Amino acid sequence: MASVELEQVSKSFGKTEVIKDMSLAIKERELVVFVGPSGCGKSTLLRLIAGLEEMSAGTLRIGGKVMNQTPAADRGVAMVFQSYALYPHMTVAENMGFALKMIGTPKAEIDRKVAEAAEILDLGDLLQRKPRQLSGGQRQRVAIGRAIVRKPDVFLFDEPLSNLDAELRARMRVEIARLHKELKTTMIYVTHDQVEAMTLADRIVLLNKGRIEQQGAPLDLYEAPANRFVAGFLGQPRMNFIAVAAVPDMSGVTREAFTLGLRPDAIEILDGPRPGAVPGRIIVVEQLGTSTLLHVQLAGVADLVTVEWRGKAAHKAGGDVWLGLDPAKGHLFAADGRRLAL
Amino acid sequence: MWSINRFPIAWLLPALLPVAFITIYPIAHALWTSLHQVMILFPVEPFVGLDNYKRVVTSDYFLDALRNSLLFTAIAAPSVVILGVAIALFLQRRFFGSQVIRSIVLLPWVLPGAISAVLWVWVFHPSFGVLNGLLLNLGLIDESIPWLTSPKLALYAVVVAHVWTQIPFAVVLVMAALASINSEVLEAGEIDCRSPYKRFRHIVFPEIKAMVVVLLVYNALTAFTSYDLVYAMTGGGPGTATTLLSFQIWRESFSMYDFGAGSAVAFIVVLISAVLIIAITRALPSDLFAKEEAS
Repeated sequence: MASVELEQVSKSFGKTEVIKDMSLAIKERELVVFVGPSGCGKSTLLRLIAGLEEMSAGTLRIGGKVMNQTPAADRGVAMVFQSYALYPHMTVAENMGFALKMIGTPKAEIDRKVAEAAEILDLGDLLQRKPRQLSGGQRQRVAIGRAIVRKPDVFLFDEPLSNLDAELRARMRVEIARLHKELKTTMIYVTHDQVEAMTLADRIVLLNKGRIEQQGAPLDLYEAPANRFVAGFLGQPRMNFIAVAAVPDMSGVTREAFTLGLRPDAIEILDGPRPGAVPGRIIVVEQLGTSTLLHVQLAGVADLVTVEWRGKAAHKAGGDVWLGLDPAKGHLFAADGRRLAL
Repeated sequence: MWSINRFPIAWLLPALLPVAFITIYPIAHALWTSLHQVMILFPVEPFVGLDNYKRVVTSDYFLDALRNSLLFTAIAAPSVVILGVAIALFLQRRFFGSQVIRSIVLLPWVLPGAISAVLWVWVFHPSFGVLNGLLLNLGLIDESIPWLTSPKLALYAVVVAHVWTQIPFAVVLVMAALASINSEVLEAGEIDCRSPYKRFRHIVFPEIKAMVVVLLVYNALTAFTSYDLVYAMTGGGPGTATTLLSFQIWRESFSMYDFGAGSAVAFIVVLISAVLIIAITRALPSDLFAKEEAS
């Protein structure tokens, strides 16, 4: 295990700056998730750490040692790729033992380490198979096994679950969390899936356009987003944003125009009109079993407002409804996106 | 009901008929000719059994031509493949001007064989040749080397010209094979292994091996049956130094007008080619020629 430090790191492809003057410290044994929309630079950042791309500026340290010019193979990292990237002509066992073979490890030791990793990942029966004879989930386990066998200081995961179906993805997510507990190794995990980020991370680093928008424990980001982008990215279903015009309040002071951000579960469905309630018309009802999502059109609000109702709601599409929008349960954002104090 | 799975032959017939007409018929005709005395001046074409073969095999050029052809093939085919792979690996990298260099490398492909031959005759020319001029200027030799008229050097000079004409095709096919490798597999290799040579040997080569075997077979056949460069550069000489078996097909048939003997040489070339194909595919087993593995 090792710490990873980035100091004022930049990366440009031609004239496009993908990573902008980024500094970040990852502690030993930490599982850090880089998350963000596509094109935010999260995969590039991971590839800079792996040594698959060269930094344009800045310093990278792994385990305290500067690694700027160190070849990928000497950085003590192992990477799991989105496409699994198994060597097609090698068996599972050969795939897993390849890195050790390349540094001249004795065969008996390779076999022992491969068997160990196969045991952890339940791959024992598949060792003599070729990658094309495996299912997607098995291939991904082999890819993880190949990384484990090397006993790396840092594990790098580049969207490892994106090619799997939903059920398998949920299972592998748990498996990766378990692995992190067992191996006690530093892990950096890239995903665009905020559910993976929320469930796996010790710390989320939320990236946007080559910069860090916010970093911290998953629930800290969820409950105290630094700005509108973070608030909108984390949370499923997405937070509702309702523009509020500048009007004088009861004391006569005019606040600047702002956006009210309310999570779908923070909006109340009322029995009838009462002070502060807003009328709306239900456009779409989504029954999810444990909860129901109502998509409601409010007068003067362009986007539909999503409301999450615990349990099965009797509401029907086309019906009218009163919603209680309590700013105290949400967040206020200024026009530039930064969060305002309530 | 008339599905391709139930009646494969019926569906393949439209494609197989032309193939039969332009391949099997000429080969059968050549076989027939090789067993008869076919000379343009004699109207009768009597059956002579294996006489043509006997005459060809015992002729004074045969052993020289066979040795030359095998040597030519043994040097040319692997050279084309090795250089083709090396150049393809180099051209795969993007660098300033790489597009221009790619086009230049492909240039020999668009030149007809006869023009390539003339070009190389001028490269090797004892008095005006570029090669001799260069070597003389660099002070590496004191007098011009008679590349094409020396019995020891002529064959190698022709091999060089032949390899030059064949490289572009090899480069294109190897580049196609390289491009089909998953880039993440190559990156995984970079993380697993520091040595570029070991990465090539263990990760890249197995991925392009099928293509390499195809190229080797193709180039062995091209080299073994090549005759246009020899015809245009040396005419088979000096003496029998560059006389190839394939060149003798032409000479027996169209210089001596003995089509029976020419066809006999042609058939010997076909048989040796078949042996070469089998030998190469056996020596370098690849997925392409292997039976489907049960998965």
